[in-house]
Amino acid sequence: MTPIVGLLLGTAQAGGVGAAIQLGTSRFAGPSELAGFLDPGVSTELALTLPVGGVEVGVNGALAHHNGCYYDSQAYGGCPNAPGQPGPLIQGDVRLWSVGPTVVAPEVARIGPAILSTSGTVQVVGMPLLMDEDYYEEEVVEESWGGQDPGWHDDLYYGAKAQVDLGLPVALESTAPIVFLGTSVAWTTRLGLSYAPVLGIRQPIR
Amino acid sequence: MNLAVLMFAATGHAMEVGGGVQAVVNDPFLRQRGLVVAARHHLTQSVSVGLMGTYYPDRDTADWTRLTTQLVEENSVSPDLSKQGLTLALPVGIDPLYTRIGQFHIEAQLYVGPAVIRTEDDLEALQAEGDERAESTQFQTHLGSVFGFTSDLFWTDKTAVRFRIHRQTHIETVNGTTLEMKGNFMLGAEFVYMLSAPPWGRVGPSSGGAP
Repeated sequence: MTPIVGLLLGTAQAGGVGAAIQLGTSRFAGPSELAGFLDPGVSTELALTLPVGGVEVGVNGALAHHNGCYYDSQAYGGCPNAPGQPGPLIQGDVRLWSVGPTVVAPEVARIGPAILSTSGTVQVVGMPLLMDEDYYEEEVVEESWGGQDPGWHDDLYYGAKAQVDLGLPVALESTAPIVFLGTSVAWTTRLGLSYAPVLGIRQPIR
Repeated sequence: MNLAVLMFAATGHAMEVGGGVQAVVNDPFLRQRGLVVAARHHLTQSVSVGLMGTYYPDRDTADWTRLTTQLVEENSVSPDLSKQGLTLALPVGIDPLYTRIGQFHIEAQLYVGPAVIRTEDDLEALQAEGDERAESTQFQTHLGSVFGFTSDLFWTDKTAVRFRIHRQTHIETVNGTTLEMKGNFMLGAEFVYMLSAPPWGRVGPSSGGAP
């Protein structure tokens, strides 16, 4: 562990570390089974990168929390945003975590003073069970869902995400951080298509 | 060489520690006040990684707002109360602002990061003391996220007062299967001390111009 930390700190000192932090309102789109059953969630995301050639390579991690349709309402089509439609049978409110390697092109183009950036991430995603497991089996699966458990909270999912954003430096110095607005779109196995408008700040490596 | 030595060595990075108080300001049912300690390691002038610990002591019914007291004692209604205890967060921050006003140097930071949050359900408010189902999820540890803004006011090269606006999000489980998303806003004030000086310099009270 210590040699790895030393290498990272040394590289940071020599070549700089890039970082980006952002907030988004993530939501699932039409083809996803979860669309209509999860409200737009608050997602927080951060990426730390090191210089590799003309791009930045690093790791991206995100956490999103969504309000979801009550588990009992999903069984009989009583979800307010998808009336009459049986739900995917998830626990209700969910926490989604994701982590994976990322590649960032911090300056694809300039549009006046604004800087266009793109990034791509391959990620592992989890949607863990948050209830007490015994009561989940007894009351949710057996009593409310008639014994059905689609297993949304048991598995890991895999996917990819792409982001495009437009930013402005906060100062005239070439090393100044960049505040950006953008959109990220992700596709994940089983979870499907999701997207998020994002607002963040980036410190590219210079 | 262990991690502590590496972190504190004069590597050309800056390291700071701080401590203070924090309060939850948007909970209509609980009035929680706590202590915060924070450390931050600057990887570069603008990018830092930190460790932040917050502890909210359990003050029993002293944590209840007047609304909670009325609901429980007069209306026999049980709000789903879950108190925060200890929280550990790993914020990654970007400093977009360094400026000077008079003799004070001001730095601002935006940060985002994961957090581990320990909570305890208030079974007295839930009117569920001794209830096996409520006790099954009385104590929990959650993975959540934090984001916030700090503004540091340096009056010397090493000492500052910090003001913090902090938001923490997690999902609680009450009574076995009831899920509730919690988004708490906190305000805090801390005293900050630089353990190692930043190599990019800092404008002191006796000097002028850009760092």
